[in-house]
Formats: sequence, structure tokens, C-alpha cells
Amino acid sequence: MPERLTASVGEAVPEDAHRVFLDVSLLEPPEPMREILSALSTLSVQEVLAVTHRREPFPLYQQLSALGFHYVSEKLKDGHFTIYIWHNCLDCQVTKPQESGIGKSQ
Amino acid sequence: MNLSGLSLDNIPQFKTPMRFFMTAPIFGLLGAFIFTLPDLWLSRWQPDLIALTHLYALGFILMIMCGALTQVLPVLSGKGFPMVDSSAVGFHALLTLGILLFPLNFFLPSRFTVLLTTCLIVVPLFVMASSIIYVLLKSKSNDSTFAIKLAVTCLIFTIVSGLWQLGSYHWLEASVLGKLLTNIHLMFGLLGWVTLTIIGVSFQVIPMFHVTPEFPKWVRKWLTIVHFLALLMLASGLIQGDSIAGQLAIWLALVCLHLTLIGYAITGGWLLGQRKRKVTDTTVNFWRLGLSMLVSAVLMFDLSLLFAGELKPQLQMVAMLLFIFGAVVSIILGMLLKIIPFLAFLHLQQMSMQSMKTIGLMPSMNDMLEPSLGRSLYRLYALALVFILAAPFMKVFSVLAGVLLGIICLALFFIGTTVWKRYRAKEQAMLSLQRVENVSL
Repeated sequence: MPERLTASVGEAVPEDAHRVFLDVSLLEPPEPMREILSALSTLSVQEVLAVTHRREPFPLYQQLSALGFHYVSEKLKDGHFTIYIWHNCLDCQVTKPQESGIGKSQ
Repeated sequence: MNLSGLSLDNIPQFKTPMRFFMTAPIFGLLGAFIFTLPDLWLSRWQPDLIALTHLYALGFILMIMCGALTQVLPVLSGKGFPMVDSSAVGFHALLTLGILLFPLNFFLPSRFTVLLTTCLIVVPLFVMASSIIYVLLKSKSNDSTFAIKLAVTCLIFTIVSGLWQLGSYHWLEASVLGKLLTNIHLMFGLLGWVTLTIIGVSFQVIPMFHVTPEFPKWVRKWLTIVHFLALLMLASGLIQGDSIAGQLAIWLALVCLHLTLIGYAITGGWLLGQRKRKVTDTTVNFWRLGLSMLVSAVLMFDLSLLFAGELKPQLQMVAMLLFIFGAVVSIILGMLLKIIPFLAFLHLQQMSMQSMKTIGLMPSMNDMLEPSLGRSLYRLYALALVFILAAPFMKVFSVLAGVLLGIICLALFFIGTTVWKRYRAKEQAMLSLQRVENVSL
């Protein structure tokens, strides 16, 4: 994993949450957005989605708050970005934990 | 790409660019009919040929570029056109009527038709040019927006030189500048407005849509400005005429234009070869066809300079066809195949954000448009191109080119309506689900 350079937006990533990894860096638009939204629709409140992307998905950021998610983006040394996304705690009570369909961290 | 300033609220409704995209094939169909007319290829001054050129330049190429810019400019600059959805309706109506009546200037020339069509075309074009300048001045500059600023400047030169030409033809005994104005009009229109817009947009869309490396920084920095200055130098050389300074300016400008056009085509082709996922993509095939035709157009122009007599204008005509149909129309068709389903997806995705449940209804790009349709269009167009290039030499090829172009335009119209219908169906499904959710809450 390339060294992280900066943590640019948002709050601290929950350390104890289970991480779900998704790499969309080789996908052509709009597949990255579709994959991320699909992953978010099954993300439980105990999980953090860690997305590897070749650029910052600014249009996605605008929607995340409205959908009840927090995010933090980090620029990596190779120019890629990792975007961590997790449920806003205010919404935790209404969202039931679900099993993610995406490969989980070991 | 300046996505940090992008608000999805700036992006026009799906129907706004689609209105332009669906009108273009209708003009393409009219142009295809002109291909079948006798005497079309007698000379570049033939009224039918001038009408054909304008039907494709204005009705097809400009129409699609206008539709694309309503969507692309907010993405490139982070700012949208003010009141884009309502103003585009009036703009589109005036432009369509103007282009529809424009061939009358060549078949039934009169001062009335000149004034009428000029107002109908020039007024919306100036409004569009000033709107683009307004948006770009309000946004942060980047390599793409800089290229589009230069392209709009060329568009203004194109309009002014066209107006001057029409005015001198109808209101003066003889055109003061004669063929010179035609060359300047053609040069700023095709090599300026069209080429610089394609280059500027491609700086973003090739790396973004095809997951390639970025264009090298020095290419993005110097290509467009050198190209633009070369066009100015060429215009100045043409105006100075046979003087030594004039000839020197023309040759220097031609060398620079060779470097920029061939350099751009090679760089673009190289980038497409660097794609990280080598999946079959019809848009990439169209890009490769367009870029190779661009190089062929330049070489064909060079070849024409070696000949004299009847062959020279014929080869120059082929160079023009290679540029318009081989390069520009190919690239535009390729981009349309990508942009139309992408925009449908983008708008559906915005709608799906109302609820996590509707996200599950989101289609893929292939659901919106089957790749097989794009592949068929590409094969048909490659075949049509052979006949288009042979058209100036034999009448039968011109007729075949017209028939195939007509079929391609109908196919493009079908592709547009197919995506639009699927978009509406998905939109209705999402709205229904949202209504059910609201009732249950």
C-alpha cells in the first residue's frame, strides 16, 4: 500500500470499524460511482467502506451527506485516493446492520 | 478537471442536450440527400456543395457540439450556463430554423433569405459565444477551458468572416476579398472552432472515459496556443498575399499546423494505447479512426500541393472530406456513443440519491445502450467513409455515400430514442418506488 500523504476532508475514520475494500481505480465512468453506491447500499453501521480511486469523486461527496454518510479522503503517493465512507451516527438507529457482498479485510 | 467546484445542480436536464443530439441526425439525413444530387462535385464553389458543407458543419457538428457543451462546460469549469434549460429551448429553435432555411441562400439566393437566415443563425451563435465566455470568465482557468476560450474566439472570426462574405456577395458588386474570405472562414471554422473544441474537451474525456494517462503537461500547455497563433499567422499571410512576408507567414503557419495536428493525433493515439483495461470499446475505435484520418487529411493536403491541374482541387476536396467526415464526424460519433448513455446514467443517479432503495434500480452503461449497436454503427460508418472519400471521383460512390450516411443518421436517431425511452422507463420506476416509500412512511 503506497504511503498516505494527507487526510483532506471530514472527520477521523472510526478505528474499530470493520473495513470493506473496494478498488474502482481501473473502471471507466460511471462504473466507479455505480460500484460505490451499490457497496454503500449494503454497508452496515459497523463497517467502513475504503474505496481506492484514481481521482477524487467530488460529485459523490455532495450526495454522501444527504444520504447520511461521513467520509474522509486521503491522497496516496502514487496519485490515487482512498476514500473512507461510513454511516453518520445519527442514522445508525434506523439502519440495520447487513452483511456486505464485497470482499472484506483480512 | 475542476470537479471540486462542480455542483450537480449546474447540470442541465437530460432533455436539454438530447434535444440537440436528436436534431443533428435529421440535418445529417438532409445532407445525405444532397450527396445524391448531380454535379455536386464539379467545384468547391458549387452551391450544392456549399449547402452540404453547411448542413454538416452547422446542422450536425455544431448542433452536437452545442448540446455537448451544455453538459461538458459545467464539468470542465465548475460553472453552469445561467438558466440553461429554458434558454436552450429558444436557442435550439432559432438555430434549427436558421440551418433549415440556410441552404436557400445557395439554391434560391436573395437578400431577404440572407437577412432572415443570418439573423436566425448568427444571433443565437453570438448569444452562445457570449454565454461560454461569461461562464469561462467566472470560473477558474485550466487547459481545457483555455482551449475552449480560443475555440470561441475562432467561432467569432468564423461568423464575422461568413457575414462579411455574404454581405459583399449580395450588397457589393464584387467581393472585395473574394476567395480569401472563404478560406479564412473555412480555416477558423474547421481548424479553429471545431478542432480546438475537440482538443480541449479531449484533454479531459480521453483520460477520464478511457482510463489512460493524462495528456503530457507540455502538450496541454503549448498545443492549443501554438495552433491558435498559427491560424492567426496563416490568416495574416493569406491577407498579405504574394508578398515575401505573406508567403513566409503562410509557410511558417503551415509548418506549425502540421506539428500541432499530427502531434495531437499521435499523442491521442499513444494515450489510447496506454489504456489500463484493454476492453473492446467502440468509442476508442472511433477515436483511432478519427485521429488516423486527421493525419491522412494533413498528408492529403500536402500531396495536393505536388499536383497541378484538375487533380489538385480534387485532392484538396478529399483532404477536406478526410478532415470533416474522417476525423471530426468520427470523433463526434464516438463521443456520442459514450456521452448519451453516460448522461442518462448521471441523471438517474441523481434521482436515485433520494433513497438507498432506488440505487438498486440503477442501470449500467450497457443496460442503457448495448455495445452491439455501437459496433454496428462503427462498421457502417467505416464503410460509408470509403464511399465518401471516393465520391468526388465517381457519381455512383457519391450516391452510395449518401445512402449509407442516411442509414447512419437514422441509426443514430434510433440510438438516441432508445436510450431516451430506457431513461424514461427507469425514471418512472424510481419515482414509483419513491412514492411507495413515501406512502409507507
